[in-house]
Amino acid sequence: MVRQISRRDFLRIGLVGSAAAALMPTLAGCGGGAQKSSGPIKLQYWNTARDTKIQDEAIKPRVDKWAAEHNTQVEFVAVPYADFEAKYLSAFASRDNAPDLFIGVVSFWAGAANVADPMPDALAKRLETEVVDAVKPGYKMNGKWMGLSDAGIPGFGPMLIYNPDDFAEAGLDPKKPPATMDELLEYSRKLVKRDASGNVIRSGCAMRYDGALGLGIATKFFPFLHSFGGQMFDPATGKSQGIANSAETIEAVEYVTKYTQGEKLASITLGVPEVQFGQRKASMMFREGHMAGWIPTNYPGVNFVFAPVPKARKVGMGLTGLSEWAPLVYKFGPNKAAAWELLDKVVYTAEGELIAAQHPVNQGVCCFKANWETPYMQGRKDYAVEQYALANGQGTVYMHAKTGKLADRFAQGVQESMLGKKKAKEAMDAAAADMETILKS
Amino acid sequence: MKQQRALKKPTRWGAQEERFGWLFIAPMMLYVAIVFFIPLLFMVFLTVFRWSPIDGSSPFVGLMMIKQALTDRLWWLSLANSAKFMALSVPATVILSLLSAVAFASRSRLPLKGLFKTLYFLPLVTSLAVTAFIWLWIFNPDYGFFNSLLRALHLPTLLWLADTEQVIPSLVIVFVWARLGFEMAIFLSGIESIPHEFYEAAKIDGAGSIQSFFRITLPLLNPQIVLVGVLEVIAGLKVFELPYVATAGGPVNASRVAVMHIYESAFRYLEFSKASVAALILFLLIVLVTLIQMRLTQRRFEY
Repeated sequence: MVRQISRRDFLRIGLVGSAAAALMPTLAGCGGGAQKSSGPIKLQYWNTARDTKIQDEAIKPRVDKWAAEHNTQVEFVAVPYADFEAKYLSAFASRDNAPDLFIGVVSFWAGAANVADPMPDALAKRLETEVVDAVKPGYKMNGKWMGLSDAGIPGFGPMLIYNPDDFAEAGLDPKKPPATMDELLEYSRKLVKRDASGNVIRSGCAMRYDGALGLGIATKFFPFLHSFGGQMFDPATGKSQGIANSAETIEAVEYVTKYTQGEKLASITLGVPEVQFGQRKASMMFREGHMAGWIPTNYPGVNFVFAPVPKARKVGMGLTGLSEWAPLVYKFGPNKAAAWELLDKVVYTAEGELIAAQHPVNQGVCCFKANWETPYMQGRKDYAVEQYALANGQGTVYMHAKTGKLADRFAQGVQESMLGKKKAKEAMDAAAADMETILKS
Repeated sequence: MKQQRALKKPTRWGAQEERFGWLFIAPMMLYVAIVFFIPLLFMVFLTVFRWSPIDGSSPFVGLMMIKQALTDRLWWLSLANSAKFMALSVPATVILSLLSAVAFASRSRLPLKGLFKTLYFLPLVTSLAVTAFIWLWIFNPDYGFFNSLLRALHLPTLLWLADTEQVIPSLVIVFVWARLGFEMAIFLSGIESIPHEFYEAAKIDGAGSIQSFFRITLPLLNPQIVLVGVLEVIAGLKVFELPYVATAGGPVNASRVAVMHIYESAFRYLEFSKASVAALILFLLIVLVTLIQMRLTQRRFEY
């Protein structure tokens, strides 16, 4: 027999159900809220998981020691690298769950996202005197210091890396790297290897032709771009028309296109330059000094030598690139003072940098002047070339709130030419026009 | 009078019952409102307000963001890539899954039939992002399986994902492989629900298997064909994770699809308003294409 529900019970169930549903989001919100309590200051330090090993082994022990002495707790959180921007953004949007310190690209987080706190004056003043001049623009937004790398930098701009064994095999003098872009072309013709069908199986000089982000293609194109006297855009005037499509830029684009399309001296299927080089599928490439550690770690036994970027028109380049990575302080965080104190006393110090830079998976180039004459720096394979780059003064650093988007669009133009989809001029004219729109928006 | 009152009473109870009914569905309506309608309204709001998730500011910008989004060449290229992807994937998935279902249905004594069905269904339960990595190896122009096969057959090799013309067809191969099992299961259940007497009667009348397929199976499978077609159009237009993992939209944006553009606008460039305009266009496009498709393909068949 079915028992009939009374009207009163029916009403009661309905009301309770609706009230519970209405209260659910509120209750859920209460559970996730931050619990304020007295006691030690708690700092959350976010890192993209890419550099976890360096942080865990070279930075964390010193941070923990400092924290124990200063009634502070520092929690390190490794954020998976894939789409870390979206993960960071969710935290910053919620505010309550945002980290106190986070590692990111200065131009984006201090510029486009505007969540980074400018450095306190006293610390900025100290770094101004202690740090090598050439690296400074990469860490400043609108003239203000925002951070500094915690483990050195990849290097003072790109440099030529070549395999002396391949040189000897091709009848080239391993002690005489190409000094000009014309020589680089000549050397590449001698070093390239092709199969019976004409496909490149060893690049004379590897080119970055593809990648997840345009940024990678743009930065790997800089040695050619800047050697020919071209520029991506003018960060000072915020202009790209006549710059991203200048005669010099187009000449540089045509030059790299010779490698991938015209004479086929570089592969467009074998992978990124460092992988090609490590697998003995490229005899030359352009990368930064941190390859001094990366190549032996990932491809032991591969012989390599560093040399300055060959000249086209300009004599040398100096440090050039996009904005740098750095630990930054969240500007709306409740513990900003403690976060800056930690960076000042432990992370942004010559001693701390030297320890982290030397970590085997890092092999970073030091930014502090005090570290330049240390046995670590002097013993580096790229030391002489880094000094050569430094002696050439400051190169172009594309510090702008929209650097990432501009680099993506610029790289698209370069790539269109390199893959033979458009003529260099047509591709770069379109890129310059779009970049102008981005700069004005 | 007494009788009238007795008649009225259940009516009042009926009205109250209706109100209580609303109370019962209120939790679900609240859920739908929070999860679907409020975000949809917020998306429309974002098209005219420049919202910052960081500080919560949202100044009114009128039609500026809409204009910027509509004049963005990269958006139209991404949308065209999605349309190209959908145009290739829909017929391929529908035809291949239908043929597979017919093959399974006609081979009732096929040994290990259950195992084969499971194998067809397996790609659907595997993450597309994970399988994309396996396919990256298969497509690799230098050491990949496909080119090794072509070389062994003395045929010219292809660039697959590394070529602007070949990248979308290559991704469609993976997509069709991943979705085939699910669509086949829908068709198979449709075929199995067709009364066997129809085929026996057709056989007595002298119809062959091809005639039976076109005169019986295909017309009676119309609801399933419409369903699979609609699902595939939606899946094709909103494809994201496969090109995102396999090619990141490259080479030269040749596989950059509409959803990838929306995602990057919002989370890489912090342009939420432009992303919202693009999302709204995509949403309306999906609705429009689905309605047209249903109007053109839906048929009522009765035997």
